[in-house]
Amino acid sequence: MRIRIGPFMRPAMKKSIWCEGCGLGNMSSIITSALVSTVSKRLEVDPNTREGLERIKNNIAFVSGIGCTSRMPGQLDFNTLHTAHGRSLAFATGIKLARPELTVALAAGDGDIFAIGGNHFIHTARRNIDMTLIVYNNKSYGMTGAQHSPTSPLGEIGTSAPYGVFEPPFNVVNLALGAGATFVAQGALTTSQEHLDQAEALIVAALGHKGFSLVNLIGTCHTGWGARNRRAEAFRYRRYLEEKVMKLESWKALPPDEQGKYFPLGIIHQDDSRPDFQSSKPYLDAIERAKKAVAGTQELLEDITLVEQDPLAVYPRTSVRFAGSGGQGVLTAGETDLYAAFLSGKSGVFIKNYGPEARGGGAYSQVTISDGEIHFPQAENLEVLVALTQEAYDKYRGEVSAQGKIIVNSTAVKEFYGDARVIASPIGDLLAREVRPPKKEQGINVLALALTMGLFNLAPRGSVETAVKKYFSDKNLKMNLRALDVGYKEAERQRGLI
Amino acid sequence: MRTGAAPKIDLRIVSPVHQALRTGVITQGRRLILSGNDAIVRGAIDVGARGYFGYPITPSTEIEEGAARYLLGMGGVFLQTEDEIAAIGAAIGASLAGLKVFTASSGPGISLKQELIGFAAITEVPLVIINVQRAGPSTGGPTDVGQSDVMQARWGTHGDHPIIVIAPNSPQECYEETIRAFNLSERYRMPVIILSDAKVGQMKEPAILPPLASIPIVNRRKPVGSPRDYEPFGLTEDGVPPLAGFGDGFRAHFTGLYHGRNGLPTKDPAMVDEQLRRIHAKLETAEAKADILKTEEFVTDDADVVVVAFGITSRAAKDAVILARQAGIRAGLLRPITLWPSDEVTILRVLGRAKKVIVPELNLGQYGLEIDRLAGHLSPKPQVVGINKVDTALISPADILREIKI
Repeated sequence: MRIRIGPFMRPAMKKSIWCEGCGLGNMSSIITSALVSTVSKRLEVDPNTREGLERIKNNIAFVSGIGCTSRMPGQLDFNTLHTAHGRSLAFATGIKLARPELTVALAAGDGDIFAIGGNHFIHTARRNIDMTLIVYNNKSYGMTGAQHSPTSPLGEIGTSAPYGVFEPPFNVVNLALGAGATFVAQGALTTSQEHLDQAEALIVAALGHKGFSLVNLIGTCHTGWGARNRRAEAFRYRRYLEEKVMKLESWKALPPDEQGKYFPLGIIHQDDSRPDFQSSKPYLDAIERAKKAVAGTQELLEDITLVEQDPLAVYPRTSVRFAGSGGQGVLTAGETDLYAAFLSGKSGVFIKNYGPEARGGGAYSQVTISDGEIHFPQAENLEVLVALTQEAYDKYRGEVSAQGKIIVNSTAVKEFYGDARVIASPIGDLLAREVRPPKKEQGINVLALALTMGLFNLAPRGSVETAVKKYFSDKNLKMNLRALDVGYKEAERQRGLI
Repeated sequence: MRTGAAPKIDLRIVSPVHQALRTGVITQGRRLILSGNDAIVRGAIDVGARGYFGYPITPSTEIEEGAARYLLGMGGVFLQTEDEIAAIGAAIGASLAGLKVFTASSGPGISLKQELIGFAAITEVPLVIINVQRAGPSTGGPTDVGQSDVMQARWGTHGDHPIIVIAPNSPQECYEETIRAFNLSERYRMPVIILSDAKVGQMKEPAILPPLASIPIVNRRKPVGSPRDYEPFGLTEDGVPPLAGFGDGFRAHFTGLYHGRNGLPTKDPAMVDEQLRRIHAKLETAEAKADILKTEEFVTDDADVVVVAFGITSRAAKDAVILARQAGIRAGLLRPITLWPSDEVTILRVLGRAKKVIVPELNLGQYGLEIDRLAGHLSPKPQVVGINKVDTALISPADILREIKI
């Protein structure tokens, strides 16, 4: 039985913008009726009591886009949102994710939801977010004056198709099914009471379905599209639709080449076995995993004393670049370097090479350290380059200042071109012989970092150790601390050589 | 170790966290190495943002990745949407449902979001939008730095609309200004844009995050009294109407159409005028200006050459000013942290003493237009010179120093 919709209308909005005889009036009534009966059952409240009425209204979010249909939410005393053209499903997605307890319904026209909003339509269906979309599909843009839409029949006349529509329409049912909708129904708003009752029943069923549901209502626009296609009277257009629709069972019995001429009415697809987005196992599992991950990353408060600096002084800066190939961990080396400097009260800035170049195999990080504040983050010259590969050495040695130093991994870099700035250290051999990492080159970044820090005393060893402990996982910490030790010893040996 | 409630930090100074440490308001913090993008996520989480909707785009993607890592485990909502428009649409929907939300993008993605920035402005929905600027127009240089969205940030969506735009220049500031952006967005019920850039977003620096209890948190004002009297766009003393969340029992209608105080569409010219003027006027009170406007002044007191720079370029400008001072030139730096609306009073005061004003920016002259407009109010008008670079490299301290010395 249809519920009286008067108490659900906003008094100021009783006069609608719709033309007399338009199906949108019917649609508004049956949506309201269906929403109220569904939500009153869900909340177990009586819509005839004042309290029950309030609770029902408070628990419904009714959303739309742009067009004649989209004016519907404004009339109704729910939580209502009249969004931008095509975007209703995106807004509704945000509402549903933030407030899952709300019943979320949408009213849309065919242009709004299948043309400009088509992308949101297929993706909301794919995700199976628990909301009900009711489309008033009159196969045209009504508000702007009878232009053709993605559901307009071929050959009919519109203001933007004066010589006939020449692009094929969507099969809306197949589109929804293809996108993964778990509930697809089709109804029609004609002269028949039976069709109207069926449409309401379809909306009730859709609202009862947990997941994304589409109710595609075949409707009319007698003043716009109808006026250009010999159906200018509401009654005549509605009668015309009656010839175009058919009960689902009868439609199924048609030979395939006949089926395209008619719109089947009823629940075309319903899959209750697939949980809705917010109840789905992958979503719930991800939340559980996320909770564990977040609980494990609580940062501790430390006592902090800021070191005051003269804002107008120029402080010397040292820029160090760690360069190598992708898997050598040069980015982490740079970050560890910066953290160690930070711990010892210095300022620093870290930049990395970024972009397509990074995927070519080469990578570098660059750290600039100073006792004073660092403003411009880019160094004009490098003081130190750590080159783990020949390619890195060849590519960046030109950026090192004349007084700078280049630490090269002489295990991999064989050609120094007689460069006097080079400090050759067999980093790769030392790693293999003295650190013996489980995987080749693991720890090479820590060894190179320790060698650099030891040679140039950029931060005290204690800070470097603390930084290494922070940046390297527990599993490899022992090996990395071994690499640190080997690196510092090598620094001592190199000092002796220099 | 977490300690009890710490004294609140005043957000209106340049680095409120450093200032609080300096003055002993706080003595502890979390020491981290953060990129600008990471820092934005940390700021958002610490100020209570619990919703993120986004779409991957270089060089802003780390913000989405950070949101994905943290939010779901904190009772929040995260979704990578089908496109940039859906991201801001879902964000507005979630904000209307009561969450503090943010979305981040860059260049082409920010262009796509423009229509709904206007929707959020006219429906007065709190929302923080981050633009990690890259070099444009169009696809331009996805990994290259640019500052060419200055005017888009102010005027990008159609129609007269208010907006707040904040331009941080370091990871520490990205963190602190994200907190301020959310607080402004909630207090003034409007979208706030954080205008970062590829360099600030990608570079890492040491950052100090204060104890959570010391962070000032502003939540949107909620309606009180009878739901029947609730006017989501009503007149209030400060021009900011209260905002209920969907499901809170204060039902209302929100539409991008011109609407009256009750939220329902209107064609009454007086009401249209009242509402459009109100959403602008709410930023014009003395209290609002004190909250919103924020400018760093560095040795401007006696400066007759003033460099006006924001974001990454302001860091080169500071070096240039220091070098100029060492050479005996009275140079100063004026750095708008809130880029829009303009801090007109401060800018005019500093420009009023200047003979020469230099505006370096990574575009062909956008913020320079605003500075030139303001300089035009002065008599005599100081000379305004732009340093404009669009070759994807940064403007260096030497580039600015050269112009200071001319």
